[in-house]
Amino acid sequence: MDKTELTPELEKLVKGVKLKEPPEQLMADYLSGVNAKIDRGAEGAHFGFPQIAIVLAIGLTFAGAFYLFLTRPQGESPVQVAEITQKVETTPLSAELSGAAAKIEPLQPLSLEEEMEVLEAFGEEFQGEASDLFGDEEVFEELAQLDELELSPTLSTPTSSV
Amino acid sequence: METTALSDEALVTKARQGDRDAFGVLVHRYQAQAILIAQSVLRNFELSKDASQNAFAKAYFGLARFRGEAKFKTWFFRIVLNEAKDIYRKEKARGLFKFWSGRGTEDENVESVLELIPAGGQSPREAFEAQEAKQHLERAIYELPEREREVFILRYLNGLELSEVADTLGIAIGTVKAHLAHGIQKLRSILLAPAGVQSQAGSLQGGGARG
Repeated sequence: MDKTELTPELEKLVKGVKLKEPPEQLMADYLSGVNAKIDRGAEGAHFGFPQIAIVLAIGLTFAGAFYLFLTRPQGESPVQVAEITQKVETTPLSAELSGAAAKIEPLQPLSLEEEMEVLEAFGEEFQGEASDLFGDEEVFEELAQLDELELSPTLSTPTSSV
Repeated sequence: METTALSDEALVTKARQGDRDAFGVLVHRYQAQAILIAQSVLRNFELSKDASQNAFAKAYFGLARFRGEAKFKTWFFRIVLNEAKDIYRKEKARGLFKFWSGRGTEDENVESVLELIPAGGQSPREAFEAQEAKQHLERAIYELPEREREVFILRYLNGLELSEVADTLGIAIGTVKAHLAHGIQKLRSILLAPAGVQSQAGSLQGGGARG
């Protein structure tokens, strides 16, 4: 038996039914409906979902390209760097700076006496500034007194033997 | 010669030249079958009517591209099937959205596509059983994979020849036969499973024969 043929029991089932036919009253305006769709189609291009999707896709592509353009790497090429250096060197400010640098004379080495004078002057200045930094001279004095005091025997004896 | 008596080819030629009456005859000739094919996909009359009308409009604009290599009938049925599938996808997406948003169910637009062929002399019990068997058959048909279902419906419920089914679906006859064989085998296993097909076939027996 051909496998594409219905088996007897299935054939009985299938032959007892049919596809539901559309009601007559609902089919009365069928042809006019078709004609209306033809007229509408002839009037102009239909702007449906596929068209909207295409427009959106193109828009997104352009937006993406614009974003990539804005966020492209900004590093200059070696040629650009050379050009910029040349421009900087030719400006009046850089010429002035290079002139000032040329005027600075190299420092002469100090003698031993001169060095000592400098250190003494620096020491005096530092002491004054340091006390200013701490602010409270009384606290400083108290600390100095405490340093001078000897610790009492009880406190100086170790509490435990190792 | 009256327009209604013309062959499809002659009507297509006239319609290509802008004769809307000739195209109207084609519409009248195939509107019922177009709706049935769309209904087998969409399972809803209003949507099927809309899909078949869209298909006619598309066919009208596509007549320039129709070269007559296939029959107008199968060329047009393919347009109907594609249009119905397109609408089905959109409706499914809309149904899912409604289902998710809690404003409806996924299958609220689904209608029965089969009806019993009236049979005389049935008792109320027999009529009830026949109704149940019809529902069981319909459920089984829609459990089949898409291609097998399409082939089965076009062949046995729309009454197309195997070559017409192949042309409509754009596949080889051998492929149609393979799908049909698999479909029939699956239908048998589904229908025979719990209740037994014998009793259901028996309840439909008085339903008359179809060609």
